[in-house]
Amino acid sequence: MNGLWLKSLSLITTTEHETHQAADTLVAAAGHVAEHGGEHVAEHAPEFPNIVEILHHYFPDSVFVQLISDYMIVFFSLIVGLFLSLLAYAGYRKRSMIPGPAQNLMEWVVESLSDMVITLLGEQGRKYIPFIGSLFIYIFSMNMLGLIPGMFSSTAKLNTTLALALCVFLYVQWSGIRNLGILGYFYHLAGSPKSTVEWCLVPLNLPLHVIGELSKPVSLSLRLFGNISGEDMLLAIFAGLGVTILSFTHLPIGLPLQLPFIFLAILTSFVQALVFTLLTTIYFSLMTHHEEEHS
Amino acid sequence: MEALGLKWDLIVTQIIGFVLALWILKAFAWKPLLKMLDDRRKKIAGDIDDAEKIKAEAGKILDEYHAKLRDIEVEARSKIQDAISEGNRIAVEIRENARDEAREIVEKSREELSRDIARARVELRDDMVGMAIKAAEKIISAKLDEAEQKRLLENFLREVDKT
Repeated sequence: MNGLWLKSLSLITTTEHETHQAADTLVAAAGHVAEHGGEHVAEHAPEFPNIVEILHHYFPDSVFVQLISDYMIVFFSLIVGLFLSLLAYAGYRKRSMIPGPAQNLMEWVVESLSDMVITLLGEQGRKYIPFIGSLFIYIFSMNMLGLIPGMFSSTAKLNTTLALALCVFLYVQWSGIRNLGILGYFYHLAGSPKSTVEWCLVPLNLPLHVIGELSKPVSLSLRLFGNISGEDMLLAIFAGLGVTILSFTHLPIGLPLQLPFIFLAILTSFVQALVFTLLTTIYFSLMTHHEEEHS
Repeated sequence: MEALGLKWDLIVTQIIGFVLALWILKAFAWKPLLKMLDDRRKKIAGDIDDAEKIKAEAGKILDEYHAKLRDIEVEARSKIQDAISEGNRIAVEIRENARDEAREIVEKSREELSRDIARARVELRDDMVGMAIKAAEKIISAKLDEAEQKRLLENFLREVDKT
């Protein structure tokens, strides 16, 4: 188990091309955890206890607590959703030409995201800004939520990241079908053959492209899940180390050894949200670029 | 604590770390972020202000042009009016002059005419005297002496004068 955690630690410092390898490690870790069952995870996984676990501990019979305990990931995603909705409402409520603090912050975020998308996709990418921008803000907020005591990063669970990646996958495929038409879409999947040789290679190209498309949500979700769960574990491990150091005092206190890694975690949260968003943009770009080629 | 299954020491450590991180962020990252947002806000406010100023200035210039155009129109109208009255004045003057001149010419002609008449009368009298003398001479050259001749002539002249 320890070996696995150490491998997880290395996730934090992985570069982008090592991500797949790191994701493999985490899949193995997840498999290991699955083998030993959920109870085991709750006892031994180096995670900070969150508010749901605390509530569940003190009110194990409450129906509500049981519900949020069963749907913990959804519960924390909802908290983020609610927070973002309130923030959006605060920024939207008193709109003026000269923005107030909330409006200013939101305008800045939206402006930056829209600039990024338009730089990559051009003017025709404007219609994807709401989806891509929301993805970034939502993922970044979920990543950051895990840093607040009592809270939990929903993106540290594969369920959440896979759901997000599937949304991206379906939207990209749907926009491909809508832009190219059904036949054009399959022509694209076949590798857009033109010469006879290329047509002969279609039986090879088609499965390759299909596998390539299917691997996109897998890589997207594993990357985000691996990085964020690794980051949260790292913090918990170092906090645990700090507790161990001060255990001789017999007080419920520890040295905050995780402090430097909090800043690293902030960076990872941002970078991983950005990577997820950028890759989504690029998947859209591959579809729109294709469309341009044909026209 | 451990016996309860909840790691309160871990939670406390996390809270300490979180508060410290917040404090560090507030000390080092908060100000630049706020400044950036404030600059953005100021820039927007400044841009809007500039735009409004330029708009107001443009409006002022437009008003000025309208006023100037109106002035020019009024001036043009008054100038035309002046020209018309001047023209009328000149026409009246010309008419007056023409009338005076005509009157002068008529006067002059009349004077000349009367002078001519007088002269013609004198000439006529002289001619008549000469002719009468000649006629008389022819008729009575032989019969009358010089004294009688002269008397008759004087009579005749008096009568001519009377006429």
